Order: sequence, then C-alpha cells, then structure tokens
Amino acid sequence: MSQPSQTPGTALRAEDFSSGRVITVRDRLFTRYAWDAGVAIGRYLAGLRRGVILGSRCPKCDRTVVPVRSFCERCFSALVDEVPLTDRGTVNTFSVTYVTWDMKKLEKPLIPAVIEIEGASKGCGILHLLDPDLDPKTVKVGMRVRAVWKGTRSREGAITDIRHFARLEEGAGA
Amino acid sequence: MRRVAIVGAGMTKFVRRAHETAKELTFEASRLALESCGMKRQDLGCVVHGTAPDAFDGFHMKGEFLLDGSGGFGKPYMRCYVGGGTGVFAPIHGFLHVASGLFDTCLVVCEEKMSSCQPHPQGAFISIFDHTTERPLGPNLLWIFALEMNRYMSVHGIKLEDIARVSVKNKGNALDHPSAQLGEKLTVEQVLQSEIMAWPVHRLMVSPTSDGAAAVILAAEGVAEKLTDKPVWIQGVGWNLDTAYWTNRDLYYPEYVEKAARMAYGMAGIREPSKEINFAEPYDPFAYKELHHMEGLLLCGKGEAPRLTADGVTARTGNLPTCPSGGLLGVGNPIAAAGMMKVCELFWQCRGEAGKRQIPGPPKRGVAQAWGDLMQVGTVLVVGSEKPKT
Amino acid sequence: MIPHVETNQDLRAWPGDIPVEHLYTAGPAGDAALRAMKERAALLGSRCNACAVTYVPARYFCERCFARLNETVDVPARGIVKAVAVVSEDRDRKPLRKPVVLGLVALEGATGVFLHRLGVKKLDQAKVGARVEAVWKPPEERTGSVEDLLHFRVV
Ligand SMILES: [Zn+2]
Ligand SMILES: [Zn+2]
Repeated sequence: MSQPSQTPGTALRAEDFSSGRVITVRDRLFTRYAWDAGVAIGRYLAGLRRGVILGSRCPKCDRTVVPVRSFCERCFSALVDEVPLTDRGTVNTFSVTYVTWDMKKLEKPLIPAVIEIEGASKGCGILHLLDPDLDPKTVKVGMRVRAVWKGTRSREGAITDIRHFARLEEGAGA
Repeated sequence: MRRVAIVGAGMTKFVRRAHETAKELTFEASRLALESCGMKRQDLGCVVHGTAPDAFDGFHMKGEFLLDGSGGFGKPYMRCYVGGGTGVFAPIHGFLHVASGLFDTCLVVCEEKMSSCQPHPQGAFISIFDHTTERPLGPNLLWIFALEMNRYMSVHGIKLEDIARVSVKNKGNALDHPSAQLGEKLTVEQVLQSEIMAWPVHRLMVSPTSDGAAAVILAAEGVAEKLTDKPVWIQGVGWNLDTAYWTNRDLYYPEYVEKAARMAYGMAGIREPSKEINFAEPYDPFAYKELHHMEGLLLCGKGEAPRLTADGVTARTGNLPTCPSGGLLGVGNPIAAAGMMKVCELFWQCRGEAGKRQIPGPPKRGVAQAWGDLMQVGTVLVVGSEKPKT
Repeated sequence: MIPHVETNQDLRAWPGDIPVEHLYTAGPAGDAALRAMKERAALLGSRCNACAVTYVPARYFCERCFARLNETVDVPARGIVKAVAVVSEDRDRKPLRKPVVLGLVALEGATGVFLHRLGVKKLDQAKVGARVEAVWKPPEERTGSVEDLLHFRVV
C-alpha cells in the first residue's frame, strides 16, 4: 500500500483563531529558575571580576581548555590546575544577527563570534560578542581581537564583565 | 540479534498550525502506519515514542501524555529524546526492542506541535545555552547555525550560491510530497535575496516551524514477511554525541555524524558509502546542514558536497539523490517527526511507492540521518531491500 | 573531590526563565465538546460501540481499539461522586480564603469519571456516593470552556 495522496492534518490560519472558529486555551508554564554557577564556573567568574580569563589545564591530554571546568571530558580526570590565559584571541567564526529570538528586528545588528583565546589550546574558545561599532563587512574569520572590559567597579563576576571583543590593531598587545 | 524490517509507514501533513491536538496528530500517523501493513493496535508488541522538548507542545511528561495517541496504552512503551536527532534515534530504539528478541513488532511514532509555543518556539531553544557563560549574552538558536555555517564556508571557501542551491532543490522536491508545508519553485537568486536573519543565514535557507507526526512499524524476521511482501530491512544503526563544550571544537565538520555513520556502515558491511548507498536523507533544518551532513556521512569528501549539488548529482535524477522527499526545508520541521519523515521516505523509496518523488530503480539502499542538541548528536539509519547477512 | 567554597563571592546563582507560554487547540472533537457546553449547557461524549465505551468529553479516537470516533452522544450532566478532595492551599502553598472541593463524578452513561468542583455549603455534604448534578453558568457568561460548568451540586 503506497503512501496515501491525501494525508490527515488540518492547517489553521490566523483568522481561525481571531474569529473564534477554533477554541483555544492559553496558559503559561511557571518556570522561574536560579541556576548555580557551580564550582568551576564560579572560579571563572571570579577571574572575570579581576579582569582575567581563566582556563583549565589537563596535563594528561596536554590541553588547555576554556572556560574553567572541574573535569576533562576526554580522559575523564579531575582538573585542578586553573591557568590564566590572555584576554586576546582570534575570531574562529562569527555571525551578524538582525533578529531577536522572538523574531523582532534588532535596531542595531549584533556580531556574535566564537573567539579562540590565546593561551588556550588551538580551537578552544568562548562565545562572545564583537564590538557592535565594527563595520560587519570588515569582520573576518582569523581576525585578532582583544577583550574590552567594564570598569573595575562595575564588574560583577559575569561573562558580561567583558563588554565585547574589539579588533586588535596591528602591532598592539603582542 | 534478530534481523528487523520496516513493514509500514504513515504520516500526517506538516502544517504551520494544526487544528488537531498533539495526541490526535500522533494517532493519525500511528493509525496510517498500522493500516499500511494491515495491523491492529492490539497486535503490537511494544511502542516507542520520539518527541523533542516538552516546552514545545507545553506538556510535561509529554511521552506519557501522548501515550494514547501512540497506541501505547497498556503496552510496554518508551519515550526517547536527543533533540533534533530524535526522529532517527526513535527507530533505533525500536530496532533494539525487536532485534533483542524481546518483541516481534514495534510501532515507532514521532510527534511535535510547535505552534502551541508562544510567542515563538525559540523561547524554548534559548535554554539550551549555558545559563552562566552564554545566556547573559542574549543568544538565540539562529546564532549557532550562523556560526557553524560561517565556519564551514570559511574553511572550504564555499559561496552562498552553493548553499542556496540546496534550498532550491529541496523546496522543489517537496512540491511532489502530499504532506509538504513549503514546497515551492525557487531560484538561487530568490534565496539570496530573501531577508538575512543572522548572516550568512537567509530566510529561505531555514526550515519552518511545524506541527505534525510520522510513524513506522518494525517487525522481526519471520514476522515481517507475513505482514508485507516488500519488507525494507534495517541494515545498520549508529548514534554518537560530541562534547557540549561546543566552542572548544571545530564546527566545520560534524565528527559525531561520521562516528555514527561508521557504526551504521560497519553493521551494514558498507565499505564505500558513496558507491554502496543509492540515496540519502540527511538532516536539513538549514540549507548548509544537508551539505555538512553529506560530508559527515562520508558520501563525499570534506568540502565536496557543494560541487555535487551544483553538478546535479544530488537531484532526484542524479547519481546520489539527496532529500528526494523535499527535506525539512520543503516538507517541514516538526522536530522529531521531521527525522521520522526521512525514515518514512526511505521506506517508500525502497518499495517503489514514492509516487511522483520516486527515484528510478527503485533504489536498493538508503541512509537517513538526524542531528540535534548543541550541534552535538548524529543518529544514522541504513535500510535496504536486501536482508542483511547477519 | 568537591572543594570547599571559601568565600560567598564564589557563589553565584543566575535567575532566569524559559520564556514560553502556550496556546492549545482543542482539536475537532474537543471543539465540539466545548461548543456543546457553551451553546447547549450539555456534556458531549463519544461512543465506541466496538469497545462499549463512552468517553466524556468527546474524543477524536478510541485509545483501546484505535478507531476514529465519529458518533457523539449527549451524556446526562449528573452522576455519583466517587472521590472527594478538599483543597485549602494554592499552588504557592498560601491558604485559600475558602477551600475548593473537588470531586470525581461517575456520569450516568459514561465510562470513567469526570473531574470538577463540588458546590457544597458544608464540607460534610461532599461525600463519596452522593448524587450530584451540573450547575451551569448563564449562557451569556459561557465561553466554550470546562469552566462553563460552574460545579456539581448535591441533589
Ligand atoms: Zn584530559
Ligand atoms: Zn474502541
């Protein structure tokens, strides 16, 4: 027996809702959370408050990962050595985003990027935003960037203590 | 392990908003699959249900809630879930149930009703990011696709036109699918002129949100042949997950898909996938994902999938038809049901029952693959008209 | 080996939510049942003759024999209380001004029980075995919801 050419499933249009032709119920899940940062990320955040990006070193795998974590997911050993990395990096990939999660237009596009942090092993980076004043056309994979920190007083131990990453000008911060 | 065949399949239309409730969609797909092989609910040994986050439909314990529509009432029943990878993960579960000898038959049904989720299903996706190190940056799901797509394009020097061709092909193929939501005749220019949502992702490179359900019936050797004269045999299954530390690995290539594929091919005795597999249904929620996954499935070398697409190799009339169904881009993307739709397509194509979509042959062997979570999971199923040797 | 937390600055909890609400359709059978409440103050059920079962409210399919159900029947909105619960706190565990009495009512002619409030003056009137009947909201207040039925009262 072949796939039937008429399949069930009734498509509704917006008018079916607004006119009350179909009956609906609206409800909201009560989903408020307080997520713990945990042990390793707690330390990472404390580092950010001091203006330092911390990673973890796995001697067995000869690998330095970022952010800090309490175990190596490859060899499964506990990681105790947290190491300060630089606050410079290289753009591994980026996007220029024009819409919010609920599909509203952003006034100014955001430029999220994965930034490989210098001092961590190759390919190890973090998600952050690039300087929103950069001309998106000039952003390139492989571009070197540096963290732009909030002032010491306004840092709170959060990923947003780094405002964004800005282009690292040639010859600077080598 | 016992040999296991797919003996029946069924699916609902995929639509933006369905009138039917989640249970009712599940029921319709299950009923059609049962009818297609002349079975009754009472005959089923067990039921497997695949469905993605509870937050979409807005029911917690969604597996249990959808039990009645899945035909699982009073039977051994199991829900499984690996995000978008669920649609191919569920039949793997079903396979294990039957191959183990525990059950002779299994109904596997996947469902999603994303339209319930307001104002947008993305509200549920937001919480897949790390709450401390990522969510404060205001990410949304488009970001990770855009970042992965850009990485893939940058490493291989792939152009937007190469990606747009996948949208054109799949939305075109979907015109022949009776369940399709977004079948459309498009040009590469139209795709490139569509709104940029998160560069390099354009609107017409994205699959829609959808409501729908799809199901197959599995049966053990000895039982399958009594239910149908054209069983489609499961020759290999594979699944694999990569680390959730997604910014610590290179997104240009889905290694976890390769590992899943190697597991499935090893079981199927496939040495040269590009020669021994006649057609493929890789997961295509975004246009570049089809290319990315063809490479992970070892159907071509790294960075070569765009050329195969440009040369027409992946067209329905080509040497390696890819997403002949129309894929998620064309048929629609009710998450778990979308992967299952691909498994249904393998079944219909291998039996020569795919109607206007039929690949000449009919093909002897096909592969379906789904993907999900934080760019993390690959699930692979190889089926064919020949009974596997072991 | 989980290390000690040495200063409370190491502790940080991130407040957040999953920003979703849901708009549920009732489906074809659910629509018919809710419309019967709104328009006729009636309880609509679905009959499966093969299984000798009457589902209330109406359903699209029979989960037993897996047939689509096309035959609907009006089920008398009266029955016998099978279980009672008295709820005195809200979901945040704050005391309610007036307790809510819930009952599972076995409707005449229907399979299973129907969940709704019991309208009683005194709590001891809400008894298992009590005969009850539906009290409906006036037509102009009915919206096509299970709330169109105000409660069951003891007869
Ligand atoms: Zn290690
Ligand atoms: Zn029945």
